[in-house]
Amino acid sequence: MVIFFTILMGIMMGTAVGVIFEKSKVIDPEQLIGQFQLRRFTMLKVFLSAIGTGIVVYFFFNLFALERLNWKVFSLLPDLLGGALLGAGIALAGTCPSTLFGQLGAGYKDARFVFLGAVTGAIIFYYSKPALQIWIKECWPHEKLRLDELGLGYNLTAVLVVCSIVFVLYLLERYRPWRVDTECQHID
Amino acid sequence: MNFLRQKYWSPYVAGGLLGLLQIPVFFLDASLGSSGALQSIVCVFSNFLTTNNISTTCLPNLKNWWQIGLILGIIFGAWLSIKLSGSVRPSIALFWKKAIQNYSNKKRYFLAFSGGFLFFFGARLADGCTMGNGVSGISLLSVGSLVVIISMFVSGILTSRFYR
Repeated sequence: MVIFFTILMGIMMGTAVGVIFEKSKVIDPEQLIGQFQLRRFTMLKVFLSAIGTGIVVYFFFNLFALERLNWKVFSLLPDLLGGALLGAGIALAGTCPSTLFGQLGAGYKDARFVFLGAVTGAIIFYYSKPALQIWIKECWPHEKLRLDELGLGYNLTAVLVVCSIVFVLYLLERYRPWRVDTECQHID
Repeated sequence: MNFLRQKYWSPYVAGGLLGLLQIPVFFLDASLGSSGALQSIVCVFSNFLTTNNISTTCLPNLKNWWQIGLILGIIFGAWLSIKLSGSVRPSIALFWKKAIQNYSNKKRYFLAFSGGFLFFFGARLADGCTMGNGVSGISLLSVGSLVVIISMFVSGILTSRFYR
């Protein structure tokens, strides 16, 4: 019963995410790789707005003394290497792991091959996990670390980060209004 | 309803809505992202194939079940959005025909497969993808997530230089 409810909640929120992905066009390779080629800026704008709003949300949770989740362990080498593989893979696939499912829903045929590749990656990772985990645990540092623990305190850090994001978005919009990126390539 | 029938939204509205999803995510004690769920499905199958019984160590936990729902929802949501707005997309984005030299479908499928392989392996190594590390992790001011995303951007920019 709990599982059923959990999956149902997931489907409802996923539907919202799928609509957001399609309407903002982040599922289109032109937008994604256009961002990497610094020709288009839709990806960055969606990404930064989502992070900015997310920080504000957690800021309010914090005000009401709700505990923040903190799940990501900081480990320099695995993070750098994982990020590099992620970036190269995204550029070749033309999609992020999450937008892949939006592409499948939108009917992109090549997305099915991306999916097969991802499943293969999952199988290989599954068998190399024991060895990798030992390596990751040995890497320096291996701790849960947040930006606010670097010395400025939570409130000040959150405000500074949000302000910088708003400022960057303002500059981006002045440099390249969003309609130019979205409208001119309606599909491609 | 009119809002849902529009062909596109401003990236700021889209991003803002994505950020607001952190509210229900928080109360459900879940986390946005999709790579964890796929990993747990594969884990169950691999275990079954090699040992012929389902090990309990990698059965999906509630968070994974939620993410499986999320994946199904994303597929449905993108489809629904297109149905409502009447957008039309070719079955393979025109972008590839411009970007890949001597384009052929086989070449594109090969790139797609290797891309999927690399990004999934990378996402597991870095403990999350663009959504998990990027949107959720950085919202929580996680240093590790920030490192992953910067590294991802640099590597993506370099790799994309190979396209025309």
